[in-house]
Amino acid sequence: MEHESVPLYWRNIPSYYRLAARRCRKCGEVYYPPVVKCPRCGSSELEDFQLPHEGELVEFTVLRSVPTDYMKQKPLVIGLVKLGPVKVLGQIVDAAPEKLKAGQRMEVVFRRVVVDGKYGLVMYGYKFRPRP
Amino acid sequence: MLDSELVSDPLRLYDVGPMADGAAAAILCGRKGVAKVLGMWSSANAVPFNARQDYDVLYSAREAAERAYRMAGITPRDVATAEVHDSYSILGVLAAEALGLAPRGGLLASLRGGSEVRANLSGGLKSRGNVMGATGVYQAVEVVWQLVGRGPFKRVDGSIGVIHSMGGVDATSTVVVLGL
Amino acid sequence: MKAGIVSWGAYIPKYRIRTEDIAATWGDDPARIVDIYLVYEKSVEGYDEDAVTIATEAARRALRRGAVDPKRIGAVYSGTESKPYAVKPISSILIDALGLANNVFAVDMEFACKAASDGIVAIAGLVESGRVEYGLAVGTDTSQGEPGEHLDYSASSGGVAYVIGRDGVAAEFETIYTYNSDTPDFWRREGSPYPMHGEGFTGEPAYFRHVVGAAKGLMERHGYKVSDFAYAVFHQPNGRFPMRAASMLGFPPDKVKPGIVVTHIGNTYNASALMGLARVLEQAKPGDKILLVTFGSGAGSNAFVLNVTDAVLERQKADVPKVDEMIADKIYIDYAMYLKNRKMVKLFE
Ligand SMILES: [Zn+2]
Repeated sequence: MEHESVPLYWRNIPSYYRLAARRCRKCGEVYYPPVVKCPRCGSSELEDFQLPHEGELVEFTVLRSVPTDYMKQKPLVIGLVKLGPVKVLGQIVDAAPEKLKAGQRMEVVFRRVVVDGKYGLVMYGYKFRPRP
Repeated sequence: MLDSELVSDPLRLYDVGPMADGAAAAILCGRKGVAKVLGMWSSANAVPFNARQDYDVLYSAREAAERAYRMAGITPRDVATAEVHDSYSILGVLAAEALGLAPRGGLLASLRGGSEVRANLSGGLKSRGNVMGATGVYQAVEVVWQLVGRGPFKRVDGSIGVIHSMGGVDATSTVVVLGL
Repeated sequence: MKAGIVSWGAYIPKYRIRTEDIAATWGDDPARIVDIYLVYEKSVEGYDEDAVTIATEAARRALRRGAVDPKRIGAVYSGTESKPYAVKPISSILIDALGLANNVFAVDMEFACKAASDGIVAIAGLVESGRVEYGLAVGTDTSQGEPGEHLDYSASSGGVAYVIGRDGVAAEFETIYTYNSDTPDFWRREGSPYPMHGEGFTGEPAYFRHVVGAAKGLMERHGYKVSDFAYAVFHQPNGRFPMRAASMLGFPPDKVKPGIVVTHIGNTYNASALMGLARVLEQAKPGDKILLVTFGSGAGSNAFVLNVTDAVLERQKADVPKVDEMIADKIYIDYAMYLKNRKMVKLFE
């Protein structure tokens, strides 16, 4: 299995767990995943920005050929969800793909993302599901 | 192809360029050779995938092509053959459009309408195979062979060919214009 | 003012398996099984859910319902018997999943199904002593039962979270009482995938002795009568036990039924009685008194008297899924999918 190292996962915990984004103090652009320098205006002055935990499904696809870490979760539904000012790419769960529609309300859920074998770390993060 | 298994809806197995082994070589020199490099450009699309507004335009390819054409002093109409990056079938379509070989969203319609779009006569990454790092030189060799009518290729009607190589989905593109 | 429940949140995974589908797999008569346990279907976690993710969802909802600033939480205690890690707390993951401050007491508690209610007791103490402003008590489980064994018909998954504090209390803790003893009714040894039952201990010497003992002890010491209470909520390993405990204490069924959720989601262990309480809080009126009695094997019970305040009305209006809505929002799965979701199929790791 190939997945993120424990130090990298640990560094990304605020963005994986809580969708902590960054906003440029100069031009106001919001970035998720977070960036250290604003690609739009070049400013290094960025502040924390909390993304909302509800949004709208922009598009999605159904992966039937999946990375090894997700072999036991086929088919994998991956979608783009508009959360406030940004679109966020993520896995969609608790939904039959044939019932998903672009534009529908989605909510953020907290799930296991990668489980490193029987003895390694359980890596958690955000996923999406249709809002009931 | 339409009966092959789904990989990522709506792409099926035979929409995906298979990984392949391969090597290609070309000699570049200042003397007169078999073909000339008339123009080249590399462009990057810094906007990450999730932040893009459109998903049906390869901006890096479009910009690299415009600049390389300007350097070579040509227009898309002058292109006799092109080898474009089609690791997935849809990317080949979008790349050909980005190179100006068809209007945006118009390639499939013009093919259905009977027009000829001379791209990926080699089969491309999709059918020749994705030789990864060797791909760009592979494409250069193939375009030159098409211009001179060598090897498996018949000579194309014209003296200018273009190659397009891409990293990621519209992350970086390089376009090179070759001419006899 | 005394400490009380400021806000609450519950989470029930979407997947359900019907008792008849379990019975069909193991050759039991479904009618007989339903008659014994009064459990028609039970909740099952998704393949990517565990006690940590369930706890997070319940806690997020609790914070949202009361509009509680996560930085004002001073303690997070999680009660569970299905920790994904033998060593590594759920509560510390909750700190970062919820965005709590680092100056927060955090520990996981274990006393079978009772631990979460011990978290409430401990946090109420921290709040009343002034050491913390708010605390978060969480009950979360993806409880285990050996396939084909009786627990397979009830052990289920779910979570609850309670914000305890003194400011904005929706249900005040008027009294707390406890009753514990060494009782060999149920245990799971380290490394064992499923718990074992001490034959004959489950009912009288364990559940009824401790639940009724705690309730009676509380009522006698503080002079409560059955008529003082609008609701009584008991731990619910099945649909029959809480009704019988109620009748032993003289509670009429209509005061107990609003707090029964086991019939449609099974026994969520640390979230069992507390899920029943959440359902009751979602319909209670200011001035109502609630008797809550939890139970954990091994064995012990905590009994609480809750006094519902005016603030409950505002909490009930919050845009947070109600227990009844979650019970109704479900996806049925078959026994094969059940085994997969619960990771009971042996895979190469
Ligand atoms: Zn900026």
